[in-house]
Amino acid sequence: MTGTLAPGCSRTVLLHPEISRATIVQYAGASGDYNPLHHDEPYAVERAGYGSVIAHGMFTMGLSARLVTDLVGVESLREYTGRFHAPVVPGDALTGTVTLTGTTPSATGVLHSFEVQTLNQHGQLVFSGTAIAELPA
Amino acid sequence: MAELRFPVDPVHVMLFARAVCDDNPAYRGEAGVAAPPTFTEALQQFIPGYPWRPRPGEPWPASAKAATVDRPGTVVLHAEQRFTYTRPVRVGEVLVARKRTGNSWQKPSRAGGVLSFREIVTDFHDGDDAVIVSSVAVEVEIGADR
Repeated sequence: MTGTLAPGCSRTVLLHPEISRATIVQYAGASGDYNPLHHDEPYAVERAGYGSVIAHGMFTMGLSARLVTDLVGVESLREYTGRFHAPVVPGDALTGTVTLTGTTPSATGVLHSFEVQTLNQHGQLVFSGTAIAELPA
Repeated sequence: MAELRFPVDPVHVMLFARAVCDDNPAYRGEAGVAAPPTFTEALQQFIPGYPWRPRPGEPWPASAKAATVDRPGTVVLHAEQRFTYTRPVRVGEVLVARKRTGNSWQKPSRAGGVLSFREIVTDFHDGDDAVIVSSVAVEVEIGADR
């Protein structure tokens, strides 16, 4: 995209067609975060007040990172930030959009700025972020 | 907090990439390849006494044989996250993580209570003691007012 698109161009990708509880547990195992909010239904519903377990915010951020790294790779990444807007729950389908918002010359290349937005199947924003990648001039 | 040693194991990187549903073959464990951008979150595996890792014989706040929850309580959620990189984490290296507390603040909640925010900053140093990744997690405690 960076070689063919000007700032303002975007790309939308289906990141996950249906989040399962196993998807969430898989992230718990890899990350080491076994907070019961993410896998223990009685805890999530009765203690935390959610309708079900919810995915780790960092699962969604990790999933959404592909939007950028599939375009520019990991080596060039200089910044990746994000905010979690709404819970991701089992059954959700997540779609992400990455937009190249601008480019700026740097001492060793060109900084490419991106915006990332991830929505669930209801069109609700669950994650938004920005990324900066430094690519050769 | 003391320094935390964080060895970047190839299988761990593969499993983490799988867990964030990234099927990029580059993450399949070759020495020296880059890990996914959020891989440093897996530092939790190396924190002694990490509270969200169950251990036999130690109290656990959630259900065991049956639902053992009592009443609604406070919940700490991850509200924001920022990473800055000078280069990616690479398979085979051993990082040293140093954690510190960042800013903290409060703001009113929609329920009329108070939301308490705090930053947790973690710097990941490579073998030359250079910081290659800085992570700032913003946590918010909710539920104290409900």
